[in-house]
Amino acid sequence: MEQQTPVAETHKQLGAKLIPFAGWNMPLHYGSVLAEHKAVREQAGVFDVSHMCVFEFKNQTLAEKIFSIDFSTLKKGEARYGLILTDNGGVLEDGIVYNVDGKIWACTNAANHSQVSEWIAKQSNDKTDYKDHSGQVGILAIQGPETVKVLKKLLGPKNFLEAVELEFMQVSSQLPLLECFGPLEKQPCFIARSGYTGEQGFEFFVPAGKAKALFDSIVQAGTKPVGLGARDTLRLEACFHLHGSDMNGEKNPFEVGLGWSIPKEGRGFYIGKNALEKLTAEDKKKQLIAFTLEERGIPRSGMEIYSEKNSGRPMGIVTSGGFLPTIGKGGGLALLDKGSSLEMNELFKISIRGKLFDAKRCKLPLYPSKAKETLKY
Amino acid sequence: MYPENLKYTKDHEWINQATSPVEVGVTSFAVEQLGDIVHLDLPDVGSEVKHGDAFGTIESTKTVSDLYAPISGKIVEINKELAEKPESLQNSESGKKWLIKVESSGENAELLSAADYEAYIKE
Repeated sequence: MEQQTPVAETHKQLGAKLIPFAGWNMPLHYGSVLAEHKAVREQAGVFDVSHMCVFEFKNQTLAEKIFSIDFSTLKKGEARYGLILTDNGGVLEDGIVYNVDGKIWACTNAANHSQVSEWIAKQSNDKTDYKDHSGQVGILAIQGPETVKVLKKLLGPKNFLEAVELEFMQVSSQLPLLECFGPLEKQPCFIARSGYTGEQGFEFFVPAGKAKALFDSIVQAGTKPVGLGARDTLRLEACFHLHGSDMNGEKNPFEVGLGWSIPKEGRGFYIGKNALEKLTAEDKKKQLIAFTLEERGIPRSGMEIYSEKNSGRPMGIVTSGGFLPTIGKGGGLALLDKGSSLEMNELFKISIRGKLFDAKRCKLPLYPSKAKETLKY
Repeated sequence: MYPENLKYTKDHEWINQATSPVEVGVTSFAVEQLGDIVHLDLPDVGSEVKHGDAFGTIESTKTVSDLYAPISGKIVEINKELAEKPESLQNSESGKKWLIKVESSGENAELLSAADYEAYIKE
């Protein structure tokens, strides 16, 4: 039996198609993946992602071991993308780390909960070093160019202004708008300007009991509810990696194009640091590419890619693929085998059920993110 | 909902035997189950199909499904316009948008009447 998010009742009322995902019963869509995708690109959408994992680090030294982040530069009120690496420097997991008023919180993928909780437990000497809040937190994301309009309607003129003062990748628990959710000391309660869509937006972390009312009021303010289907097409256009597809414990961060997230050499105290510092330039060569199809067709993960210059042998696989609604083509991310390479804009082939389709290597990301743009109100 | 002049298969294709060559399409029930249709892969004109075998694929944002031929014969026309705009299958009544036209060799899969098909999908 799958777990239900605190918003489950609303999903049913809205007619969501529910699917089992990572042990949770989650909305895939509320009628149309394409319509939901479009709403986030052009207006605003709200996601219930309460299935994601939330960890609170009471001992910062533990967080510094777990995440490949330079914590000396993660100031109060800042959020940062970070990886959890194996001893060998493979990517065990990714997530966002938040410095909420001096306390470290992290949000990671639902699908990796057992691996990540075991990993953190293994690295910890004292059970009081951290707390796993997973499944106890309501996590809602508002994303899209009309996010500010929604917040204004939702929070009123004063509180809304304080919320929009947050810059991209900033986090706060001090906003008056959060008062109704109770003090942070007792329960997780903060708002971050972050997301997984390539649009402007905010993510709310609130006590589970408050999530349904918040989700309902966001929908009533004119926001389209969006399921996991569009969450995947949105992130794929923005070329945000999905753990287990575009990266895994066998690949180092550089190979999969996440080298930018690793602290400068010598900085940080994270597990895997020694292994990364021993990598050669060849080991670090980026093998993850973005592509679109040059003809009608839908690439899916696991499909092989070919090029004439590789004399008919496969040279890599699609790691994430699908129809990209904003771009209007099939496309995605692919991982080239070690020793294989493709120039920017170079044509190659993808084998879709035995037929070869023309594809082109494209600049990352396929959809340029608007998340950092100044909020207009 | 399911026009009575058509016959249906348990694989969710419809066939219009009143037309010559015979028109073959996919039922509105199948389209609804798949969700947003984003791609259609149809066979080449001139190729032969055998009833019960896959002749193409239909893809939604998340899944791909095979299309199964209700009859055997030679494909004489494919709906290129529909292949260019697969999303137009959404909300279209069964029988309105054909996928392929087949010159029947006389053999076919088990065909259901509209009433039987409706009863079948309710099971």
